[in-house]
Amino acid sequence: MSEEKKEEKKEAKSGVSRRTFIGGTVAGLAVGAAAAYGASQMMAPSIPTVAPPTAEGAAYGKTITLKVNGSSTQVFTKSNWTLLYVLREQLNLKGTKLSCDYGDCGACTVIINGKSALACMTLAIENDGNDIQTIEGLSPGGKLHPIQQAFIDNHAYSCGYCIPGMIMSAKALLDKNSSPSEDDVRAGISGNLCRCTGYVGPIRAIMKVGK
Amino acid sequence: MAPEIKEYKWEGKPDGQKYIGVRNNKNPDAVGVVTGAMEYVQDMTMSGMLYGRMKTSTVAHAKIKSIDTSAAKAMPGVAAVLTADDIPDVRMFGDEPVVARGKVMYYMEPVALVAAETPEIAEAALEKIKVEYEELPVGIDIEAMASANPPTVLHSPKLVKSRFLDERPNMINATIGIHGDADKGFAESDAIVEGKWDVARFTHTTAGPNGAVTWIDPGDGRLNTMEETQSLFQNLYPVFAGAMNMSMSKVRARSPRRMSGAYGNRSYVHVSSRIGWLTLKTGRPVKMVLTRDEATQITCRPRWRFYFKVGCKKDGTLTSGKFTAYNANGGYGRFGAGIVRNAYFQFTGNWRFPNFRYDSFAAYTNETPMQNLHTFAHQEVCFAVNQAMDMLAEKIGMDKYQFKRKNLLVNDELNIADEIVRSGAVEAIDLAAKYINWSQPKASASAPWKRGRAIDVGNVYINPLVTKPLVHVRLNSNPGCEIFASIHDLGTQINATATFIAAEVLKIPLENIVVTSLDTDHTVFSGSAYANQQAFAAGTPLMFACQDALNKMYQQAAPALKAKPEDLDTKDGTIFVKGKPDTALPWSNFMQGTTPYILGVGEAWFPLDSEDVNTMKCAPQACPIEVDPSGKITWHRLNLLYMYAASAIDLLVNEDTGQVIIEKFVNISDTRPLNVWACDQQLEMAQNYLGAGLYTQMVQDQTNGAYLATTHLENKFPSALDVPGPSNCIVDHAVSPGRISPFGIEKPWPSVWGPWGGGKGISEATIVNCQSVIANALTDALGVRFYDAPIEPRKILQALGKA
Repeated sequence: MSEEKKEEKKEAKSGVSRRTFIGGTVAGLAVGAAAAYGASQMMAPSIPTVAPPTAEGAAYGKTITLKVNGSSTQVFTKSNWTLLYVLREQLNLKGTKLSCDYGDCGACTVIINGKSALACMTLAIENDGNDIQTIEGLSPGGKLHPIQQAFIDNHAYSCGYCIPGMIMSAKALLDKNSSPSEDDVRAGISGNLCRCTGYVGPIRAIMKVGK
Repeated sequence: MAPEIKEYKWEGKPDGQKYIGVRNNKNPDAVGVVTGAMEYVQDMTMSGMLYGRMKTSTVAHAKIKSIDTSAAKAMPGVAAVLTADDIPDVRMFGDEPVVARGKVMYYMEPVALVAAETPEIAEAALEKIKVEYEELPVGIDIEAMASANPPTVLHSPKLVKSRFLDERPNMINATIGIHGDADKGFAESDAIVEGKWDVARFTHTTAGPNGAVTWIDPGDGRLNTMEETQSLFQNLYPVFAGAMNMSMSKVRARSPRRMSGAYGNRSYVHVSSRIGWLTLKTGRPVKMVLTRDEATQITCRPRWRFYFKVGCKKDGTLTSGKFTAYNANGGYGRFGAGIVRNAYFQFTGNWRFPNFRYDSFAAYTNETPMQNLHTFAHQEVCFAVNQAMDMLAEKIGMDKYQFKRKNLLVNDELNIADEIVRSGAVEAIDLAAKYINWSQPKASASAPWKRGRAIDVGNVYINPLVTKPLVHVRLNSNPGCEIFASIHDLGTQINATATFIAAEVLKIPLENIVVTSLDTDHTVFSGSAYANQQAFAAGTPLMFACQDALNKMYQQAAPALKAKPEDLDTKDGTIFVKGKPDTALPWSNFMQGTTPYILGVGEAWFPLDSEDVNTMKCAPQACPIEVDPSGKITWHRLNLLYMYAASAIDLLVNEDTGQVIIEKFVNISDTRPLNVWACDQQLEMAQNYLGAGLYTQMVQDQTNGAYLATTHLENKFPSALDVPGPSNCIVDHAVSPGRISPFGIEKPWPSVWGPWGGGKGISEATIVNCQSVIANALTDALGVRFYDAPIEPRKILQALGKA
């Protein structure tokens, strides 16, 4: 490097860089900011043209009984609602995650009558009378289940979105087989796709719970 | 199970650190994650909320002749249906409209928006919207589309300006980098190799599909958004306001505490830029979560073609390189102008080229517009570069590891951009060779299996994208601390890392430190979560802010303790005279009455050079970055730092079926881990990217630009059955820049070095070699070379003449 360069102390001039590219874009976007739709002017919300569906109002559906995490609950479902939709939207159990909604990824894994299942791939109405375990049922009174603790201790999560489903798959596996081999664990969570944790941490965590 | 190997070293690590550089499981978000209680944007609702949906195009390039929304609007329960006619002509990142304006540029581009009382009504309404298209030629061939006479033109007139070749109708950006004289270098070479490489598209596949909620605050009338973002201030806030055609003071942007995956996906504003208009139209909150198909098709990393020619002397010394890159950018620009520039940094960061020529082109094509996705082109560039290096080593009969090692830049060397390099690449590749037993012959394999090994090295740059990141902290008397910073936890565990940093400086319990949520109403700008900068760019001012708050408290406490402020110290929420623990008084003594809190402010300084447009070297007029109080070191930088990774693989391939089994994968990064476990985890996550070498891709119809697969499984995303797993060694090795930082925690930190001389990113480096090691190992096994990623069994059998 030349001596002159070493001596240079001028302010950096902006070139076309990723940084300035973004900055420039921001400036470009701000042009013409006069509010065509001025949200600052109070606007009256539009009036709903239909009311949200209820047990009385819906044409195709019925009230079913689900045993969720040990408690029996009566819940209305339309005939085409998935168990995932009913758990999340009717029962407000949002630990069961919505991701692909067609049985690919396992984020919505729950345990139905002792077997792991994808809540997005079963209609709620098919589950009348069924025993459903969701992630919310694993830590009654706030005490973490050993699998949950193992996921923390082994840093088996990244963003965490797929983790409740993976923990439910692990629970279904360990309920049946308390000392699974590594291959058992891999097979047990093979329906749970995890993009950013990967599988090394979860396999390690589940192996540690198994004895 | 074979033992895991985890190691890292930190020469001169300060004694007594409880969290920084110490492997621990502390994370304020952990319980929320494992119990399912963590609220991601997909889980959020508001009363009176409408459900948004997008009508998307069924063709990749067409004029929109008409859109008939009347039947949809007439449906009970439909609150609004919007097309481009209802929205001003605003453009995100210079060219992308909220919904298609007159033309569609890619398959599944949004053309209309619906808000309805229920998701079902919204979906039914989409069916009632009738769009008539007049199809146009579909431009997919990247070299043709980048040429002066492309088969079709997407944007006329052009809305973004290319640095070079702006007269070409589809050119988004072209970049040149010149060092020495490449042709002269080739003339002096003893051996030359060249090749043409293609890398398929690959989608983000975030676990949570993109979602957002928008609403109008009834108190102040501002339009609010809650959407996941990697950059509250460089992205969500300004882009949302721009897309809404509003000034930023008329909007408020927030982001959930954790993102449901990111990898670049959350650096665009896919959802609230659309549903914000539905909220403005209806006055009601609107939520939209994209379907998996929509999320897959609205964003991905670009398709690339590379030409690379490299020469060397008989002894393996590189003489010259010539690299040409074509980015099939998709229908809109997004980050395409930047990516073709920044792909150059693979060559500035890593290799000792006496002569080099780089040309790159981003051009519009009728595909999903590209976005940044983990490494911003570097994994793809490494696919070509590491293979070319192996080809050259083969040609001169030199060991591939030794050949690469010989040509890696070392510490204090000046690279082809005139930056001084701080590199752990040589140490990383040495460790990779050690753990893959490179010096030993390959293990055997019996037919039809063949065994292959490879050892590759790559880098990714760290660019703060912010000159003066700012952090505020507020101390309370409990004792506790709230952090106000644009810290975005994408799964990188930066929320935990930030509490580690504050806990080490403030010496109060970790549990008493909170990273507040992202909200433009109180968060200050401390950078963004891309370009591997966050721990560095936000962590540095966070340290300053904590120290500033302590200094202010020492000022208040000095009279009571009958000492000078600089003679005071803190521990467990008390202040005492250094060396006299019995003088301790609680923080609460100095935070009460009219001064109940103490605010700490920290600002760092990351000036970077601009570069000479023709050579991509640091411009001579630009300032050196150095802030070393001794004044000895001067730096010119395009990037703050580079981070390096070496990866080695040992695999088996079945000659009859093309099946690949990875027996061992070694991955080494040169970062200094602040949050050790989070760094381990990034190295482990990298195994997923081996899929990008083997099979993961967006399967695309090359005639009409449609994607033939949109699901995770169809895109062949790896599962737990596919990754090498915990029986394989992962080595985590800290080298730079920490060892060049002469400062301890008690001294003022030169802002350029980052917290404890660490905080250099890790995530992108860990995956940079994942495509190339697969290719090089397959070549080692089979004796044929693979130029087209991913290398599916079909391609393996084709190369062997069996299919």
